[in-house]
Amino acid sequence: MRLIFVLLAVLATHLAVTAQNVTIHATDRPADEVFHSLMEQTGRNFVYPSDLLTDMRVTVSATRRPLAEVLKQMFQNTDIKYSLKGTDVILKRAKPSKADKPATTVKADAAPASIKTIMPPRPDNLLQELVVVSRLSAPVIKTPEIGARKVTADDIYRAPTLFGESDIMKTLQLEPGVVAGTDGSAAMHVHGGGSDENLFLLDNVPLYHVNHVAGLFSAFNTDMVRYVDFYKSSIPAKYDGRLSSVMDVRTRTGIPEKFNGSARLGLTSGALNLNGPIGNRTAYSLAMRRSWIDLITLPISRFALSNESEKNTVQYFFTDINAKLSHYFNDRTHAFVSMYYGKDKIGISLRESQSLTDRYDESFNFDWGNFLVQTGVNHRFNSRLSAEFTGAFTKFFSGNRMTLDYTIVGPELEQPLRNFSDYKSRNNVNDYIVRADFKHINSETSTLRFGASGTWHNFMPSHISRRYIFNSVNVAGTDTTNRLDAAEIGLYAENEWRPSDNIIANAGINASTFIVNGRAKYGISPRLSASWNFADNWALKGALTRTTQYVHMMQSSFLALPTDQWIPVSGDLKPQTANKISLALYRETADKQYTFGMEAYYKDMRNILEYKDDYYLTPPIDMWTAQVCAGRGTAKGIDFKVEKHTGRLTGHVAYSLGWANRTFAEKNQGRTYPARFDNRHTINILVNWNISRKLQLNAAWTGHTGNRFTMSMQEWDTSTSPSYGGSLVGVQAPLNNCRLPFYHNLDLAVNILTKNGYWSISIYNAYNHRNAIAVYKDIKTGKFKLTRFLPIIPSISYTWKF
Amino acid sequence: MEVLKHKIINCLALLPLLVLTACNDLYIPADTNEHTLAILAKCVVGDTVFVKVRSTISLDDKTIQSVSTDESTYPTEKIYPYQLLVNGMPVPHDYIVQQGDEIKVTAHDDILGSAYGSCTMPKPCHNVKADFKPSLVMVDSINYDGSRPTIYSVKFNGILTVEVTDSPNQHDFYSFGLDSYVDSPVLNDYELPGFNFYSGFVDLDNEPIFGEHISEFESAFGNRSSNFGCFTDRQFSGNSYKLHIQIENATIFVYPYNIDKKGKEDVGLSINLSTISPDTYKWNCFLWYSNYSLMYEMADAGLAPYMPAFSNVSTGAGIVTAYTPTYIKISLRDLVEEQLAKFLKK
Repeated sequence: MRLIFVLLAVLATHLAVTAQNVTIHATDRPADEVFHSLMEQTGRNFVYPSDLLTDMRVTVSATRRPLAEVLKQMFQNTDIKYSLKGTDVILKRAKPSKADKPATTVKADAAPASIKTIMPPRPDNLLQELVVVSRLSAPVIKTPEIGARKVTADDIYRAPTLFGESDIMKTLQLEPGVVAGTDGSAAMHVHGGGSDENLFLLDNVPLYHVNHVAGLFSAFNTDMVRYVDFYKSSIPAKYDGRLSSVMDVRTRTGIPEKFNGSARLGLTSGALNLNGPIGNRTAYSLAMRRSWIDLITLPISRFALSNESEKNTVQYFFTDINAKLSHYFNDRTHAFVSMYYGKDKIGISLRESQSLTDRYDESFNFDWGNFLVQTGVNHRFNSRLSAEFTGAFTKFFSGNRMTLDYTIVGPELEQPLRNFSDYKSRNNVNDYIVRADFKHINSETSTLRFGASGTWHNFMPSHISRRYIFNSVNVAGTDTTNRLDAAEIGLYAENEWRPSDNIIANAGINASTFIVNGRAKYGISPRLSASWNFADNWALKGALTRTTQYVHMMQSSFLALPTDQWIPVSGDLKPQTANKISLALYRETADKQYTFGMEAYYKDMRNILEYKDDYYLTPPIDMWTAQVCAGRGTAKGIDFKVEKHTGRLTGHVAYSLGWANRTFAEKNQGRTYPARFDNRHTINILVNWNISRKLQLNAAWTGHTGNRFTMSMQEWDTSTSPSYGGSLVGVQAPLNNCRLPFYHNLDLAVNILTKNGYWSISIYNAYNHRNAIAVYKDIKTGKFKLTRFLPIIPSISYTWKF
Repeated sequence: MEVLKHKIINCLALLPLLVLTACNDLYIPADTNEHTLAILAKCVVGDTVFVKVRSTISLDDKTIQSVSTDESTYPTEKIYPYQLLVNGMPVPHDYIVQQGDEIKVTAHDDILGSAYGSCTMPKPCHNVKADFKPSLVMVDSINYDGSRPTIYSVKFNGILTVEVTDSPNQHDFYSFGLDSYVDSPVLNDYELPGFNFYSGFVDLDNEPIFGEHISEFESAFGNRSSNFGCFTDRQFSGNSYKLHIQIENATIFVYPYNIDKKGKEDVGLSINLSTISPDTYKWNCFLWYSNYSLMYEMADAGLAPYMPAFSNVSTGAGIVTAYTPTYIKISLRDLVEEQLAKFLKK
């Protein structure tokens, strides 16, 4: 498969690319609005300095004309030049002629106009900020959403990295109201919610498990990301199924001019990315990542132990592959087929030769990940109605296999005696999805979005098989499978309406039903958000959001482990719901350089599920419904954010003040207790400093109040008499009665542009403050100690562009 | 001067970083000295209530590390008074527990405050049937060089089957216990019984219902019920269920010169199938998880949350358990006599 792609890529470089045809009619409309339409038709991104098109309005009229011709028409009589690079349309201000050049040199950071000289470390070495046109492409004061953020590939590359891997999740963790939960983790806890309350979509299709390496990396390969729309307060009616947030990841699309790609080699992993056209209507993208540390450690450990009686090896790797084939049938229809496969694997092998005759082999293998394949068609019926049709299969899988093989070959035995056991366990979720999303432009001030989706869930919480050989005799094995099928149907409609230049509102509803074991559960999720520009560059927003969740993750450890199980809400359990009210105030400076935001929220979650007792790593699967209890959660708080968009120095400072509580009748004696991630204060600072054309420094500092945990301050003696020597048991303490120490972490990254690529040097945890992730009791001393996690981790990677 | 000013500013800027990073690995809770009363009580139908009321121990109570077995000096053995209430009425400490009683144990100390815990005695099991099928019976004689009379050992394995019939329309919890018994007529201090029974290895791990609280993942790592004899009716609610208990290497020693000196002696297996309160089941689960589970091991390594304790006492310290036992005896005297006769014939 890989060879085929490479071959196609090479061939594609020899193919001439002609521009795509577009249809657009606009008279004196804002330039970014026109770009939005062109982007939808061509799949291209528009890349330009933020200040380039400030308040620019354009007039253009074209029917099925090449994109290049339309762009020429748009920018005639202006000093803006365009060029097509890869799947991007790059806009620049034309260089002044020598005659126009001022006699004095202007400092690069003296004015926003100097931005075009700044080098962000994009893979294609573009020197501008990337402004892609997504649903959230408009400035924050122009959209009705609260707590929404569009993240571009550029934003992700700018955030400091861990082990040289850029990560969308790490970028979003710098948003106010979002915490990682555990040091280094790629998990997200949004406004006091759980890590399973975030909907992760890859081109409109959900992914269940989004982590590699127990949460250190996310499953999203940045090389494939085009943009990400992130919603944490007001969520459009299109999205439902999770309580706290939505992360809609869109992968690359559009037809590049010619074959291009990149190869990255870091300390622990490598990646390859290929993009190219096939003819003038088809394009492909391929991105692969693999950690490769095991390729070195495995042979070394084998060599080192070659003369030892015990030969123990440990192997770990993660990999993911994204592939996408897009075809533009005409200027109205675009289709794609894409595939994602991500997997983590841990293998532990213990081999021992106790004597010349006996042999002992034991192996443990764990693997987990996602497989997703989908096809989508985007079609524009007319100038008002367009649609996106999706068919997909998505699979979450985790499994483990343990084998024990012990053979005794003694002189006293007539024949070798073999004892063997093979245990296999699998936990899968298979989803078959069809959905249709429509967009109808009712008028210049009104846009209707509506759609329907159907999902057939096939949950297999456990498939277990055991096989035994005892003293060389086969013993009857067991093979048990638990399956649970569920059907989920959803309908939604939302209308964005601009009754005046100062007011914009979005009202919608998402209705869904979830049928499991012949019982139907329902969810009605109304949404309302509105924005009022009560003064120039000011926006006051309000939102009401209700979300419904039918599946949840059973998780005991705070690490993302293969023991995590996704299980539907079945039996007498009700769907989880969250009602959220948000109020926000935004201010943008007149020069568009700064944005100030203040968002307050109150979230009331009902029927949320937790283990009744916190003893389980995985539940006893036959009776898992008996092990969970339903309760209530509340979260409230206020998020502040100041963001600088332009200039040599960009970034943001965010502060969150929040409370998150839980109440379960069957836990903590029915009393309300703070949630584990009840982080009172959170501060996130992100700085991107373009030092020169070839050098960029990124820094991110995060600090937040420590996570909560439960600890018994006292113990009691269970012995009936001293002579029986009972044990000491902790006093049942109020849940989450203690806090870990204040968490803080500084990450630094330097990107250095070279002729054929760029170096990325990063330092995770720059001042080597190992944050505590848990408290444990030292049995020897009887004292409690902190488990500290990641130390300073420098890393370096080089990305070669071709 | 300007350079010095910059240096001072830089140092001041670094100060918060130094303060934030200067931390110790030892975690010291804000307050560990709030001692309370802990109540350990076991209520068994047909018996008096066993109660121990102690003080809790702080994490910094070093004395517990060098604990004495002498009750008078044992730091937690100080006797605290308690009161027993049955169905809301005070009763003497020698009260014999009845089925259906709601028992409450309260205690008070001027310094440590008050504590109470309660339980309701569950309905007993009904229609319990038991059967034992011995296998691999071997008889041997033991003669100490003729200096003492010959004694015999009857060694055997076997499968014990106990059928439990669950009460409909209620959620029941059970506890299984097995012991050996030797029923001898009253002997004086100088007389010995005719039998001595070592019940050998009782394997609860092979009965799957004792492991219903254990996930497959845990069991794959080798975690077994490990003598956890509690179970629920979740898998046979309103129906009956047969427990299969494997017994290995059980040995009955026979002293022929002592048998039946003052009447018919009996030897056999004593089965105790109790219904237990939900809290008693949770308590036993907690003990199992806090000793054997992967979560415990992960928490011990700091990779999982500290495992919260279970208690049904108001102070969070202690447990009041409730057992309504049903005893069944299976006599093995016939087996012993039959096997011994066969042996002696040889």
